[in-house]
Amino acid sequence: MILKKSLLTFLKTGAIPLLLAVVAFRQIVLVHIAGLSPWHGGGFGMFASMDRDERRVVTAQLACDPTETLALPGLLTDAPGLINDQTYTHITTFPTDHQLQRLGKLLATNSSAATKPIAELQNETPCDGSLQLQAWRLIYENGAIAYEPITELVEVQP
Amino acid sequence: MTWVKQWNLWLSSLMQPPVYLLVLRLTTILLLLHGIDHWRWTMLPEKVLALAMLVNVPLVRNRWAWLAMSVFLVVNNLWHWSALVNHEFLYTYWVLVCTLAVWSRTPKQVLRWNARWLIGLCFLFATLWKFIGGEYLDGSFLHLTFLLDHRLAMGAFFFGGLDLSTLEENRQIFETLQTSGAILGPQQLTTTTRMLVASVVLSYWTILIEGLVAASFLLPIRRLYKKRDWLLLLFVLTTYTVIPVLGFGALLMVMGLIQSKSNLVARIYLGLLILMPLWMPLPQGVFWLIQNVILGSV
Repeated sequence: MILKKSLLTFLKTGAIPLLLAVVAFRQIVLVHIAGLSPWHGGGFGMFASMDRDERRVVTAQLACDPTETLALPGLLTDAPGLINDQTYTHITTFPTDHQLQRLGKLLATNSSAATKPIAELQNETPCDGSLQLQAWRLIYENGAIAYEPITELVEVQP
Repeated sequence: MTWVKQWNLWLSSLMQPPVYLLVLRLTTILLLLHGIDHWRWTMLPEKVLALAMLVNVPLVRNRWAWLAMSVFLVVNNLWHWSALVNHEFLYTYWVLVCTLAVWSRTPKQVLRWNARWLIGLCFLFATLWKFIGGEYLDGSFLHLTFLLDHRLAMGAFFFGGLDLSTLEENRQIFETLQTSGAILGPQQLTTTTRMLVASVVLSYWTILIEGLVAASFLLPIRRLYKKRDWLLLLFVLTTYTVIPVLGFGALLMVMGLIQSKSNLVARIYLGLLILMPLWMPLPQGVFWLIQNVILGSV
Protein backbone atom coordinates (compact mmCIF):
# COMPACT_ATOMS: atom_id res chain seq x y z
CA MET A 1 0.00 0.00 0.00
CA ILE A 2 2.79 2.41 1.01
CA LEU A 3 4.78 1.34 -2.05
CA LYS A 4 1.79 1.95 -4.33
CA LYS A 5 1.23 5.38 -2.79
CA SER A 6 4.90 6.30 -3.17
CA LEU A 7 4.90 5.15 -6.78
CA LEU A 8 1.80 7.22 -7.54
CA THR A 9 3.32 10.28 -5.86
CA PHE A 10 6.52 9.79 -7.86
CA LEU A 11 4.54 9.47 -11.11
CA LYS A 12 2.57 12.63 -10.40
CA THR A 13 5.45 14.80 -9.20
CA GLY A 14 8.84 13.49 -10.28
CA ALA A 15 8.61 11.11 -13.24
CA ILE A 16 8.27 13.60 -16.09
CA PRO A 17 10.86 16.13 -14.81
CA LEU A 18 13.21 13.16 -14.28
CA LEU A 19 12.53 11.96 -17.84
CA LEU A 20 13.36 15.44 -19.16
CA ALA A 21 16.62 15.50 -17.19
CA VAL A 22 17.66 11.97 -18.29
CA VAL A 23 16.99 12.72 -21.99
CA ALA A 24 18.87 16.03 -21.69
CA PHE A 25 21.90 14.38 -20.03
CA ARG A 26 21.87 11.66 -22.70
CA GLN A 27 21.88 14.37 -25.38
CA ILE A 28 24.86 16.15 -23.78
CA VAL A 29 26.79 12.85 -23.68
CA LEU A 30 25.90 11.97 -27.30
CA VAL A 31 26.99 15.42 -28.50
CA HIS A 32 30.37 14.97 -26.88
CA ILE A 33 31.09 11.32 -27.68
CA ALA A 34 29.14 10.58 -30.87
CA GLY A 35 28.97 13.86 -32.79
CA LEU A 36 25.22 14.53 -32.33
CA SER A 37 24.27 18.10 -33.28
CA PRO A 38 23.60 20.21 -30.13
CA TRP A 39 20.40 21.48 -31.78
CA HIS A 40 18.72 18.08 -31.59
CA GLY A 41 18.10 15.21 -29.21
CA GLY A 42 16.15 16.96 -26.45
CA GLY A 43 19.00 18.61 -24.53
CA PHE A 44 17.82 22.21 -25.01
CA GLY A 45 20.97 23.10 -26.92
CA MET A 46 19.14 25.03 -29.66
CA PHE A 47 20.42 28.56 -30.14
CA ALA A 48 23.51 27.66 -28.11
CA SER A 49 25.79 26.37 -30.84
CA MET A 50 26.46 27.23 -34.48
CA ASP A 51 26.87 23.49 -35.13
CA ARG A 52 23.38 22.77 -36.42
CA ASP A 53 22.63 19.90 -38.77
CA GLU A 54 21.70 22.15 -41.73
CA ARG A 55 25.18 23.66 -41.68
CA ARG A 56 27.04 20.38 -41.50
CA VAL A 57 28.67 18.74 -44.50
CA VAL A 58 29.55 15.17 -45.44
CA THR A 59 32.34 14.74 -48.00
CA ALA A 60 33.22 11.70 -50.12
CA GLN A 61 36.62 10.72 -51.53
CA LEU A 62 38.46 7.70 -52.81
CA ALA A 63 41.09 6.22 -50.51
CA CYS A 64 43.68 6.10 -53.32
CA ASP A 65 43.33 9.79 -54.21
CA PRO A 66 42.28 12.06 -51.35
CA THR A 67 42.86 15.19 -53.44
CA GLU A 68 39.51 14.76 -55.26
CA THR A 69 36.64 15.40 -52.82
CA LEU A 70 32.88 15.52 -53.37
CA ALA A 71 30.77 17.67 -51.03
CA LEU A 72 27.41 16.01 -50.59
CA PRO A 73 25.29 19.20 -50.23
CA GLY A 74 26.42 20.28 -53.71
CA LEU A 75 25.89 16.77 -55.04
CA LEU A 76 22.37 16.58 -53.62
CA THR A 77 21.49 19.95 -55.14
CA ASP A 78 22.57 18.65 -58.55
CA ALA A 79 20.86 15.27 -58.08
CA PRO A 80 17.90 15.79 -55.70
CA GLY A 81 16.58 12.21 -55.93
CA LEU A 82 19.89 10.60 -55.02
CA ILE A 83 19.27 10.35 -51.27
CA ASN A 84 16.12 11.05 -49.32
CA ASP A 85 16.36 14.48 -47.58
CA GLN A 86 15.29 13.04 -44.22
CA THR A 87 17.95 10.33 -44.42
CA TYR A 88 20.68 12.86 -45.20
CA THR A 89 19.48 15.18 -42.39
CA HIS A 90 19.48 12.29 -39.90
CA ILE A 91 22.99 11.25 -40.94
CA THR A 92 24.43 14.77 -40.69
CA THR A 93 22.70 15.27 -37.33
CA PHE A 94 24.10 12.05 -35.91
CA PRO A 95 27.07 10.98 -38.09
CA THR A 96 28.12 7.74 -36.44
CA ASP A 97 30.31 5.22 -38.29
CA HIS A 98 27.25 3.08 -38.90
CA GLN A 99 25.27 6.00 -40.37
CA LEU A 100 28.16 7.05 -42.63
CA GLN A 101 28.51 3.43 -43.81
CA ARG A 102 24.79 3.48 -44.61
CA LEU A 103 25.15 6.74 -46.53
CA GLY A 104 28.12 5.38 -48.47
CA LYS A 105 26.19 2.26 -49.46
CA LEU A 106 23.22 4.39 -50.57
CA LEU A 107 25.54 6.55 -52.65
CA ALA A 108 27.23 3.56 -54.24
CA THR A 109 23.91 1.84 -54.97
CA ASN A 110 21.93 4.81 -56.22
CA SER A 111 24.70 6.51 -58.13
CA SER A 112 24.90 3.88 -60.86
CA ALA A 113 21.21 4.39 -61.66
CA ALA A 114 21.06 8.16 -61.39
CA THR A 115 23.88 10.62 -61.81
CA LYS A 116 26.77 8.27 -61.14
CA PRO A 117 28.59 10.71 -58.84
CA ILE A 118 30.86 8.06 -57.38
CA ALA A 119 31.53 6.65 -60.84
CA GLU A 120 32.45 10.17 -61.97
CA LEU A 121 34.79 10.48 -59.01
CA GLN A 122 36.38 7.18 -60.06
CA ASN A 123 36.70 8.35 -63.67
CA GLU A 124 38.42 11.54 -62.59
CA THR A 125 40.66 9.48 -60.38
CA PRO A 126 41.55 6.29 -62.20
CA CYS A 127 42.44 4.18 -59.18
CA ASP A 128 40.76 1.26 -57.51
CA GLY A 129 40.28 2.54 -53.99
CA SER A 130 37.41 2.25 -51.57
CA LEU A 131 35.01 5.11 -50.87
CA GLN A 132 35.63 7.18 -47.73
CA LEU A 133 33.18 9.56 -46.05
CA GLN A 134 33.74 12.25 -43.43
CA ALA A 135 31.40 14.61 -41.54
CA TRP A 136 32.31 18.26 -40.89
CA ARG A 137 30.93 21.11 -38.80
CA LEU A 138 30.98 24.86 -39.31
CA ILE A 139 33.19 27.02 -37.12
CA TYR A 140 33.56 30.80 -36.88
CA GLU A 141 36.90 32.23 -35.78
CA ASN A 142 38.46 35.67 -36.26
CA GLY A 143 35.64 36.80 -38.53
CA ALA A 144 35.98 33.81 -40.89
CA ILE A 145 33.91 30.66 -41.38
CA ALA A 146 35.53 27.29 -42.05
CA TYR A 147 34.82 23.58 -41.68
CA GLU A 148 36.47 21.23 -39.19
CA PRO A 149 36.02 17.45 -39.10
CA ILE A 150 33.61 15.86 -36.61
CA THR A 151 34.50 12.29 -37.53
CA GLU A 152 37.50 10.39 -38.82
CA LEU A 153 37.41 9.23 -42.45
CA VAL A 154 35.05 6.26 -42.56
CA GLU A 155 35.82 3.62 -45.17
CA VAL A 156 32.66 2.25 -46.77
CA GLN A 157 32.68 -1.54 -46.67
CA PRO A 158 31.51 -3.14 -49.94
CA MET B 1 -11.13 51.93 -21.96
CA THR B 2 -14.26 49.92 -22.70
CA TRP B 3 -12.40 47.46 -24.92
CA VAL B 4 -9.80 46.85 -22.17
CA LYS B 5 -12.63 46.07 -19.74
CA GLN B 6 -14.32 43.81 -22.27
CA TRP B 7 -11.02 42.08 -22.98
CA ASN B 8 -10.48 41.48 -19.23
CA LEU B 9 -14.05 40.25 -18.82
CA TRP B 10 -13.59 37.85 -21.71
CA LEU B 11 -10.31 36.51 -20.28
CA SER B 12 -12.01 36.09 -16.88
CA SER B 13 -14.87 34.19 -18.47
CA LEU B 14 -12.38 31.88 -20.18
CA MET B 15 -10.69 31.28 -16.85
CA GLN B 16 -13.82 30.13 -15.05
CA PRO B 17 -12.95 27.16 -12.83
CA PRO B 18 -11.90 24.48 -13.34
CA VAL B 19 -8.87 26.18 -14.94
CA TYR B 20 -7.24 22.84 -15.65
CA LEU B 21 -9.89 22.19 -18.32
CA LEU B 22 -8.92 25.41 -20.07
CA VAL B 23 -5.28 24.28 -19.97
CA LEU B 24 -6.21 20.89 -21.46
CA ARG B 25 -8.18 22.62 -24.24
CA LEU B 26 -5.34 25.04 -24.98
CA THR B 27 -2.90 22.12 -25.07
CA THR B 28 -5.17 20.34 -27.55
CA ILE B 29 -5.21 23.42 -29.81
CA LEU B 30 -1.41 23.63 -29.68
CA LEU B 31 -1.14 19.92 -30.46
CA LEU B 32 -3.31 20.40 -33.52
CA LEU B 33 -1.30 23.35 -34.81
CA HIS B 34 2.30 22.68 -33.83
CA GLY B 35 4.65 21.19 -36.39
CA ILE B 36 2.37 21.68 -39.38
CA ASP B 37 5.16 23.65 -41.07
CA HIS B 38 7.34 20.52 -41.14
CA TRP B 39 4.75 17.83 -41.65
CA ARG B 40 5.51 14.15 -41.17
CA TRP B 41 2.94 11.43 -41.80
CA THR B 42 3.64 9.96 -38.36
CA MET B 43 1.98 13.11 -36.95
CA LEU B 44 -1.37 12.21 -38.49
CA PRO B 45 -2.79 10.18 -35.53
CA GLU B 46 -2.06 12.97 -33.01
CA LYS B 47 -3.58 15.64 -35.29
CA VAL B 48 -6.74 13.58 -35.89
CA LEU B 49 -7.11 12.91 -32.16
CA ALA B 50 -6.49 16.57 -31.26
CA LEU B 51 -9.14 17.63 -33.76
CA ALA B 52 -11.58 15.07 -32.33
CA MET B 53 -10.90 16.38 -28.80
CA LEU B 54 -11.65 19.93 -29.93
CA VAL B 55 -14.84 19.04 -31.79
CA ASN B 56 -16.14 16.58 -29.21
CA VAL B 57 -15.73 18.63 -26.00
CA PRO B 58 -16.17 15.82 -23.39
CA LEU B 59 -13.26 14.00 -25.02
CA VAL B 60 -10.85 16.63 -23.67
CA ARG B 61 -11.20 15.19 -20.17
CA ASN B 62 -11.26 11.58 -21.35
CA ARG B 63 -8.45 9.58 -19.75
CA TRP B 64 -8.09 7.14 -22.65
CA ALA B 65 -7.90 9.93 -25.21
CA TRP B 66 -4.96 11.48 -23.34
CA LEU B 67 -3.31 8.10 -22.94
CA ALA B 68 -3.62 7.53 -26.69
CA MET B 69 -2.22 11.02 -27.34
CA SER B 70 0.76 10.20 -25.10
CA VAL B 71 1.42 7.00 -27.01
CA PHE B 72 1.28 8.83 -30.36
CA LEU B 73 3.70 11.51 -29.23
CA VAL B 74 6.13 9.14 -27.54
CA VAL B 75 6.23 6.90 -30.65
CA ASN B 76 6.78 9.96 -32.83
CA ASN B 77 9.57 11.16 -30.55
CA LEU B 78 11.30 7.77 -30.52
CA TRP B 79 11.01 7.50 -34.29
CA HIS B 80 12.34 10.96 -35.14
CA TRP B 81 14.35 11.74 -32.00
CA SER B 82 17.42 13.05 -33.79
CA ALA B 83 15.43 15.40 -36.01
CA LEU B 84 13.23 16.95 -33.33
CA VAL B 85 14.02 20.30 -31.73
CA ASN B 86 13.64 21.31 -28.07
CA HIS B 87 10.00 22.26 -27.89
CA GLU B 88 8.86 19.11 -29.67
CA PHE B 89 10.29 17.12 -26.75
CA LEU B 90 8.66 19.57 -24.34
CA TYR B 91 5.27 18.98 -25.99
CA THR B 92 5.62 15.25 -25.35
CA TYR B 93 6.57 15.80 -21.68
CA TRP B 94 3.62 18.16 -21.28
CA VAL B 95 1.17 15.69 -22.85
CA LEU B 96 2.47 13.01 -20.46
CA VAL B 97 1.78 15.46 -17.60
CA CYS B 98 -1.75 16.13 -18.93
CA THR B 99 -2.33 12.37 -19.05
CA LEU B 100 -1.18 11.92 -15.46
CA ALA B 101 -3.38 14.87 -14.48
CA VAL B 102 -6.59 13.50 -15.99
CA TRP B 103 -5.92 10.12 -14.38
CA SER B 104 -5.38 11.75 -10.97
CA ARG B 105 -7.84 13.09 -8.42
CA THR B 106 -6.01 16.41 -8.27
CA PRO B 107 -5.48 17.41 -11.91
CA LYS B 108 -4.76 21.08 -11.26
CA GLN B 109 -2.06 20.31 -8.69
CA VAL B 110 -0.39 17.77 -10.99
CA LEU B 111 -0.35 20.25 -13.88
CA ARG B 112 0.84 23.11 -11.67
CA TRP B 113 3.68 21.19 -10.02
CA ASN B 114 5.00 19.67 -13.26
CA ALA B 115 4.66 22.91 -15.24
CA ARG B 116 6.90 24.66 -12.75
CA TRP B 117 9.53 21.90 -12.89
CA LEU B 118 9.46 21.50 -16.66
CA ILE B 119 9.90 25.25 -17.21
CA GLY B 120 12.70 25.39 -14.64
CA LEU B 121 14.53 22.37 -16.04
CA CYS B 122 14.30 23.37 -19.67
CA PHE B 123 15.76 26.79 -18.82
CA LEU B 124 18.41 25.14 -16.64
CA PHE B 125 19.60 22.94 -19.52
CA ALA B 126 19.36 25.84 -21.98
CA THR B 127 21.62 27.88 -19.66
CA LEU B 128 23.95 24.94 -19.13
CA TRP B 129 24.36 24.59 -22.91
CA LYS B 130 25.38 28.24 -23.16
CA PHE B 131 28.38 27.36 -20.97
CA ILE B 132 29.12 23.90 -22.40
CA GLY B 133 29.20 25.14 -25.99
CA GLY B 134 31.46 28.08 -25.14
CA GLU B 135 30.15 29.99 -28.15
CA TYR B 136 28.06 32.28 -25.93
CA LEU B 137 30.87 33.40 -23.67
CA ASP B 138 32.75 35.08 -26.55
CA GLY B 139 29.55 36.05 -28.41
CA SER B 140 30.58 34.04 -31.51
CA PHE B 141 27.33 32.06 -31.76
CA LEU B 142 25.07 35.11 -31.87
CA HIS B 143 27.55 37.00 -34.05
CA LEU B 144 27.53 34.29 -36.74
CA THR B 145 23.76 33.81 -36.38
CA PHE B 146 23.17 37.52 -37.00
CA LEU B 147 25.40 37.32 -40.08
CA LEU B 148 23.87 34.18 -41.61
CA ASP B 149 20.33 33.57 -40.31
CA HIS B 150 17.70 35.49 -42.29
CA ARG B 151 15.36 35.38 -39.27
CA LEU B 152 17.80 37.64 -37.43
CA ALA B 153 18.26 40.12 -40.28
CA MET B 154 16.26 42.69 -38.31
CA GLY B 155 18.65 42.37 -35.36
CA ALA B 156 21.71 42.59 -37.63
CA PHE B 157 20.26 45.74 -39.21
CA PHE B 158 19.35 47.56 -35.98
CA PHE B 159 21.98 46.29 -33.55
CA GLY B 160 24.88 45.85 -35.97
CA GLY B 161 24.20 48.48 -38.62
CA LEU B 162 24.52 45.88 -41.40
CA ASP B 163 22.49 46.34 -44.56
CA LEU B 164 20.52 43.54 -46.19
CA SER B 165 22.78 43.25 -49.24
CA THR B 166 25.82 42.63 -47.00
CA LEU B 167 23.88 39.93 -45.16
CA GLU B 168 22.91 38.37 -48.49
CA GLU B 169 26.58 38.35 -49.56
CA ASN B 170 27.51 36.63 -46.29
CA ARG B 171 24.89 33.96 -46.92
CA GLN B 172 26.25 33.44 -50.44
CA ILE B 173 29.77 32.97 -49.05
CA PHE B 174 28.45 30.37 -46.62
CA GLU B 175 26.50 28.52 -49.32
CA THR B 176 29.57 28.38 -51.56
CA LEU B 177 31.66 27.07 -48.68
CA GLN B 178 29.03 24.46 -47.78
CA THR B 179 28.66 23.14 -51.32
CA SER B 180 32.42 22.90 -51.67
CA GLY B 181 32.70 21.26 -48.26
CA ALA B 182 36.10 21.32 -46.70
CA ILE B 183 37.82 22.01 -49.98
CA LEU B 184 37.87 25.78 -49.60
CA GLY B 185 39.84 27.33 -46.77
CA PRO B 186 38.44 29.85 -44.24
CA GLN B 187 36.17 32.47 -45.79
CA GLN B 188 35.96 35.98 -44.32
CA LEU B 189 32.48 37.37 -43.59
CA THR B 190 31.62 41.06 -43.59
CA THR B 191 30.66 42.46 -40.20
CA THR B 192 30.97 45.58 -38.04
CA THR B 193 32.46 46.31 -34.60
CA ARG B 194 28.94 47.29 -33.50
CA MET B 195 27.69 43.82 -34.46
CA LEU B 196 30.51 42.19 -32.51
CA VAL B 197 29.81 44.26 -29.38
CA ALA B 198 26.03 43.80 -29.67
CA SER B 199 26.51 40.02 -30.03
CA VAL B 200 28.56 39.84 -26.82
CA VAL B 201 26.09 42.04 -24.89
CA LEU B 202 23.06 40.06 -26.12
CA SER B 203 24.80 36.75 -25.36
CA TYR B 204 25.33 37.73 -21.73
CA TRP B 205 21.78 39.09 -21.51
CA THR B 206 20.49 35.71 -22.74
CA ILE B 207 22.59 33.80 -20.21
CA LEU B 208 21.41 36.13 -17.45
CA ILE B 209 17.68 36.01 -18.23
CA GLU B 210 17.60 32.24 -18.92
CA GLY B 211 19.63 31.56 -15.77
CA LEU B 212 17.32 33.76 -13.70
CA VAL B 213 14.21 32.01 -15.07
CA ALA B 214 15.75 28.61 -14.21
CA ALA B 215 16.77 29.73 -10.72
CA SER B 216 13.42 31.39 -9.96
CA PHE B 217 11.44 28.27 -10.93
CA LEU B 218 13.75 25.71 -9.29
CA LEU B 219 15.41 27.23 -6.23
CA PRO B 220 13.68 27.67 -2.90
CA ILE B 221 14.61 31.35 -2.68
CA ARG B 222 11.40 33.13 -1.75
CA ARG B 223 12.20 36.55 -3.24
CA LEU B 224 13.32 35.05 -6.53
CA TYR B 225 10.45 32.54 -6.65
CA LYS B 226 7.92 35.36 -6.31
CA LYS B 227 9.40 37.07 -9.37
CA ARG B 228 9.40 33.92 -11.56
CA ASP B 229 6.38 34.86 -13.69
CA TRP B 230 7.70 38.32 -14.50
CA LEU B 231 11.10 36.87 -15.40
CA LEU B 232 9.50 34.31 -17.73
CA LEU B 233 7.32 36.98 -19.33
CA LEU B 234 10.37 39.22 -19.78
CA PHE B 235 12.23 36.35 -21.46
CA VAL B 236 9.32 35.59 -23.79
CA LEU B 237 8.79 39.22 -24.80
CA THR B 238 12.47 40.07 -25.31
CA THR B 239 13.38 36.83 -27.09
CA TYR B 240 10.44 35.94 -29.30
CA THR B 241 9.98 39.43 -30.71
CA VAL B 242 13.51 39.08 -32.13
CA ILE B 243 13.38 35.35 -32.97
CA PRO B 244 9.73 34.27 -33.33
CA VAL B 245 9.38 30.64 -32.20
CA LEU B 246 5.60 30.33 -31.91
CA GLY B 247 5.40 26.70 -30.79
CA PHE B 248 7.80 27.13 -27.87
CA GLY B 249 6.41 30.50 -26.79
CA ALA B 250 2.82 29.22 -26.82
CA LEU B 251 3.63 26.16 -24.72
CA LEU B 252 5.54 28.30 -22.19
CA MET B 253 2.44 30.52 -21.88
CA VAL B 254 0.16 27.51 -21.24
CA MET B 255 2.52 26.07 -18.62
CA GLY B 256 3.04 29.52 -17.12
CA LEU B 257 -0.71 30.03 -16.85
CA ILE B 258 -1.42 26.89 -14.82
CA GLN B 259 1.54 27.21 -12.43
CA SER B 260 0.86 30.87 -11.59
CA LYS B 261 -0.85 31.52 -8.29
CA SER B 262 -1.91 35.05 -9.22
CA ASN B 263 -5.12 35.49 -11.18
CA LEU B 264 -3.79 38.68 -12.77
CA VAL B 265 -0.59 37.02 -13.96
CA ALA B 266 -2.54 34.01 -15.26
CA ARG B 267 -4.68 36.44 -17.29
CA ILE B 268 -1.52 38.05 -18.71
CA TYR B 269 -0.23 34.62 -19.78
CA LEU B 270 -3.58 33.84 -21.42
CA GLY B 271 -3.80 37.25 -23.10
CA LEU B 272 -0.27 36.98 -24.48
CA LEU B 273 -1.01 33.46 -25.72
CA ILE B 274 -4.17 34.53 -27.54
CA LEU B 275 -2.48 37.58 -29.06
CA MET B 276 0.73 35.70 -29.90
CA PRO B 277 0.01 35.44 -33.66
CA LEU B 278 -0.18 39.26 -33.63
CA TRP B 279 2.60 40.48 -31.35
CA MET B 280 5.21 37.85 -32.10
CA PRO B 281 5.67 38.52 -35.82
CA LEU B 282 4.88 42.25 -35.49
CA PRO B 283 8.48 43.60 -35.22
CA GLN B 284 9.58 41.38 -38.15
CA GLY B 285 6.55 42.56 -40.15
CA VAL B 286 7.30 46.23 -39.46
CA PHE B 287 10.93 45.64 -40.43
CA TRP B 288 9.85 43.97 -43.66
CA LEU B 289 7.57 46.92 -44.46
CA ILE B 290 10.34 49.44 -43.74
CA GLN B 291 12.80 47.54 -45.94
CA ASN B 292 10.53 46.65 -48.82
CA VAL B 293 7.87 49.36 -48.98
CA ILE B 294 9.32 52.51 -47.39
CA LEU B 295 12.98 52.06 -48.39
CA GLY B 296 11.96 50.10 -51.50
CA SER B 297 14.80 47.59 -51.44
CA VAL B 298 12.88 45.18 -53.69
